Amino acid sequence: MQALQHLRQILKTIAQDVEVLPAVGGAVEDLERPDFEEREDQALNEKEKVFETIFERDPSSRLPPLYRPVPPLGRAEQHLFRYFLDGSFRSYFLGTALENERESPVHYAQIGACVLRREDDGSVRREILQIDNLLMAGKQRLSEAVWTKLEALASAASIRLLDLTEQDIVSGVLADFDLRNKAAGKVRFAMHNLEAEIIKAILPQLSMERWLIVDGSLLFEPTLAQLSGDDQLKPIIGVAKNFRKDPQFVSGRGPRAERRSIYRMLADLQAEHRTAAFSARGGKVVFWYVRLREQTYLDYPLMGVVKVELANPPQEPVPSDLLDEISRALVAERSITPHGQDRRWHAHLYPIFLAERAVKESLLSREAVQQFLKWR
Amino acid sequence: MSDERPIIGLSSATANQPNSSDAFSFWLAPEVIVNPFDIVEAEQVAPEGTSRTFGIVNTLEHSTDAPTHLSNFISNDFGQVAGEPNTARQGTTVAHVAVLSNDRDIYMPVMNDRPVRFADEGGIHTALGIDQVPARYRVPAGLIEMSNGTCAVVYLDSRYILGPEGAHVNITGISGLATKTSYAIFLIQSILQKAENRDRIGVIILNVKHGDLLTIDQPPCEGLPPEQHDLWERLGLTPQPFSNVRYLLPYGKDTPTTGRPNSFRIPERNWFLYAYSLADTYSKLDLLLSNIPDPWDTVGALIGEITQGLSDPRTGQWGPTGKWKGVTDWNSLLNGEPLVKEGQAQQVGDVRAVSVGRFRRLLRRIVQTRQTGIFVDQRRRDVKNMSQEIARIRGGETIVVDIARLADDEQTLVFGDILRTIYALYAEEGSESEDLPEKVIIFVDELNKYAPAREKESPIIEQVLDIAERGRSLGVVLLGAEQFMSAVHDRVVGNCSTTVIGRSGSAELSSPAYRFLDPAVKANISRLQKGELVISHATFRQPVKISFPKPAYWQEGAE
Repeated sequence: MQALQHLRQILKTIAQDVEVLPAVGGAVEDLERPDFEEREDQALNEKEKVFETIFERDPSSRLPPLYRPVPPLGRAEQHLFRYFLDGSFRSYFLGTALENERESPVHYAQIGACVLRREDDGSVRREILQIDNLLMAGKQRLSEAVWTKLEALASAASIRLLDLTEQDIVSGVLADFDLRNKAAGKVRFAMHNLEAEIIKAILPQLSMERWLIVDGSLLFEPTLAQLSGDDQLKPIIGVAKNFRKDPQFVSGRGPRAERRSIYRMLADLQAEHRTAAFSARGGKVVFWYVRLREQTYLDYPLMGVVKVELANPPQEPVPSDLLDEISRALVAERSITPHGQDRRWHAHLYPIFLAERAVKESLLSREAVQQFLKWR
Repeated sequence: MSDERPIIGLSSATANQPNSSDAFSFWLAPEVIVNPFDIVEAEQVAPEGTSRTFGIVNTLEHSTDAPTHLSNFISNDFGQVAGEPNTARQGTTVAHVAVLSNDRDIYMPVMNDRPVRFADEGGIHTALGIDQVPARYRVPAGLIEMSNGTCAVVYLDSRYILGPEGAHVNITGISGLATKTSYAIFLIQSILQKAENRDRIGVIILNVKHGDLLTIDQPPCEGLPPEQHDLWERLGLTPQPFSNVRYLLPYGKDTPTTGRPNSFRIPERNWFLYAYSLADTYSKLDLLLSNIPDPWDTVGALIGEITQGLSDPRTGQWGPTGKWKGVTDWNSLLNGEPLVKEGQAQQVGDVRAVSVGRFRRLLRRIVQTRQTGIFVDQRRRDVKNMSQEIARIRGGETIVVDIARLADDEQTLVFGDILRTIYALYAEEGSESEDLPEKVIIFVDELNKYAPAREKESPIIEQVLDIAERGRSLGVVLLGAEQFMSAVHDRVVGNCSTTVIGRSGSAELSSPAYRFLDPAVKANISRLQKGELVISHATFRQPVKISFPKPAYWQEGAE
């Protein structure tokens, strides 16, 4: 609540220098666009569309098959995944600042990321939780004097000021001239940066017996940089519920090589099976797909499938056994599901869902922000 | 002090379930066990520092983040019952608490996330308002035993049992063999050991079943088990049988030949026979015929004629005169003039002959055909008159009247006779007599027989109502018990300032007699174990669950 008090003072000060068209009734929450995760995945991999390198090493030294069975490996047998990281945010449009011919939307957001630790009895505890406050406006849309003043006020109040006009990989997804539409991408960019910081903080607690699952892709550059520091595989995977639907995959060699769309490949992926791992970014990352549930229970063949990413600093094919073990443990994560609480339940991992909830529960409520942040 | 006790949860207020001045909720920390009727305290605001809001747990609910049961089904891999989920479903147990009191009289709703602890003994007393009762008025009523092992003695305020603020105790339920009777006797013993001026209290106990109460002055054959001894002592009471007990046992058909009373058991000492001759009964015929439907008051009118005819107009005592002169006993009343002449029923006063005939048939059946022997033509000198014996009651004395083997009409007569005698002693003569006890406690089981809910009026109901409604100021206390409180006249139940409830069925608990109970408390009552009771007292803000020690006298079948 202190952040809101500071923020109110900042808004009051800006209002003295610029004309403000306030959002009706106070702050209005920006709703996250649907399937942003998928669009983000596309943006982060824009240059690669055809994946033809199966980048795993089968113990038999034969060419790894396209599909491999991965029966569930529950916590009672081997408790591989101990930590779960997810971020979340809530963003509010506060109004439009008008300064002569200039205008800029003004947004306020809270971003957060949380790591949950799972105990041997299956219960979870909060390991790390960090919440940051953001104020966003277009630097190029305001005079330098107003921006400088904003910077000073925000700094004094421990609120991060972000420039909506600054380009970044995530908000670039929304190539829209309207800065207001870019705010959500900017917030996600900040959230991913926060997640990268938290990965760095949790890394010393991980081992090959104690893995971390990160929600979403690992291809976000600050995150990938954390995981590529040396030549060692890090016990961290990224698991994406939504992923791009345009890539094509080539399996087999020579005349037997077969090209498949992702739809074709995943339609043939049986429950408790994974695909072969493919290389991305020149082998810096390997990724594969795992079907958690029977298709018969789902509406659409692509439901119930997650995309798994593993940073691969050695850039060598990854042992198939390791990928199998990871995949088997992932299949076991299908129980419990957030069915009824999240439309992506079929591919959502419950501890990740809980980490997201832990963040959401720590953010200020809409009611508090909307009532507190009014231009007066 | 409170900080030394572990926090068992934090208060919780939500948009849909806000806390209020009367109730709050809290979620339980994992591994904590709480049960209904546990008394807890939550930290509360105060002008300086904090205060404590006490409450009693009514219900506990466990909820998870699964919006539907289908979600749980799907979560278990679409109905796989084997295997353990990788991550435990998020859930919590929430206790819903009815507010009892605040130690600084602050009745703000308990805020969110305030620490909640089990109350200690002092806290329990504050919660129930017992700390406001001066020590001299405290009567131990049982022990509260909480889930964390904390025990606290529950005290009743004697001013609300014996008057003048309130009076009467009603015990109800199907809690188990002799539980209600055992509790009633325990409570009487507690009063006799702890109440102010206890040597000025007289007790009349009606034994209605077997020989249960015919040995209350004898210790248990093998003594009390040590844990029961401890329980008595924790309550501050001495486990001892009654002293100064007088037993009144009914005269039976075989008594003239065997000399034995018509009782299931004969007390070791100090017992006397009682019987009813016509001279003892003529003024109580209304009680004897209480159970006879009399919509046109013809029986009542004839009883009035008989009572008047058999009374000496100068003294108001027994003394048949005029046409009633020949009536000396039951036989001459039933078969002689003026009711019968030459074998034909006669009109008496305004009562027509046909009604007199009906009256004779009814009375003959009660006092001759189906009687147990209690009605005698002439009472021997060593056989006592009930009302005279009751009138001799003294402070510190307990009279046990055995009616277990009597017929229903006879039981009604005896109970009504006792009530009428006591009421007359206190209400009509006043209690100026130095010999009379200051208070008289009358205990009877199966109260519903004498004050049934379904009947609006009868001589016995009126007698019971007189005691129930005016006994508080007179010092006459009715301690009644029955299986179903709904079967007892609502004015009798309504006048009891203390209600004790044992296990009862949900159908019974849904009757209006129990409307003072919260629905959650009713559900808990239906789950009570044998020997567990819930007590509602005038000064308690909510009913509490208690346990009590086994009787310290010899009980039939208890050995």
